[in-house]
Amino acid sequence: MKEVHENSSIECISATIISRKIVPSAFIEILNIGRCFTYKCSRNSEAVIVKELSPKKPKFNELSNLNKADKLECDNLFVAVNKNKPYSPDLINHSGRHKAQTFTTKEYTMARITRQIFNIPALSTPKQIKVIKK
Amino acid sequence: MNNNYFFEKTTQGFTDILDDKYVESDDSMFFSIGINQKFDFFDKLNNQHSENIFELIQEITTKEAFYIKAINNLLRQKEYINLMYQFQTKQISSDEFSDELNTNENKYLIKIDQKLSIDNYKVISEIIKKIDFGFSEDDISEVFSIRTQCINQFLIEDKDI
Repeated sequence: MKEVHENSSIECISATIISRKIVPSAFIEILNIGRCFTYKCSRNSEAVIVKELSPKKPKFNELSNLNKADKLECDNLFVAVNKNKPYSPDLINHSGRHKAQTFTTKEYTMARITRQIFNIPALSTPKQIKVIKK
Repeated sequence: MNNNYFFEKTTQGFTDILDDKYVESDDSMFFSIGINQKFDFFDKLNNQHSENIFELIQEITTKEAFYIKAINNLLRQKEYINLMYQFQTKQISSDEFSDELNTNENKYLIKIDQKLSIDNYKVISEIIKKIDFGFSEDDISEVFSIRTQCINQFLIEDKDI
């Protein structure tokens, strides 16, 4: 399933992140997830689930997409990876004209659309984040 | 009987008020603190102002707390980006990077643990308006340690506030 609207998110054990620009953001502690490295992706960003959570239950957002091959396509993407060591993105040829940066995570990953592609109409009722209460 | 304290703004000097019952503001205006009943020597305009003084003090205190929180978090982020730069330019190995994060966690870790009340939302909105920067939800979350879903909720309900 492909999601394109703001606040859509995926949660998984492994995801491939592709974006024209991936910038490390901060080392933060998020409720329910723990310490994470965060990345901000801008300009034609996408995130695809490579490996599902086991058990398949979201840790952060009840409304997250959890199935293998679920995909986020957007302009800006926020990525949090629950890991001790950081990733260094690789450079790839993503389209005929443009290069992109990419990395594939191997730990718990949460990605969320922070800005959808500008020509996609906004939803009349914006998507919400429903944080799981423990 | 419980004492109900209140502030009153006055232009009268210190000598007109008991020594232990005045507060001097930054712009050298004087306020008296009364107990249970108001003094009669203030006009109605001053009374209107004084009723808001607690709210004003509360707002200034909250604002200062957010400024300090923001500076601390931005310094942590700066330190983290410096460390990440060292790692990406291969000045340090990934093991050294992890060791440094684990050893000096407070220097780098930003805790996103604050809930957002309506009052705090208004204070943060005022701060953000004064800064010439396009803040995203995540920026606000990282800078002020506010949980993202709280910001999201307020942005959706913003028209009602």
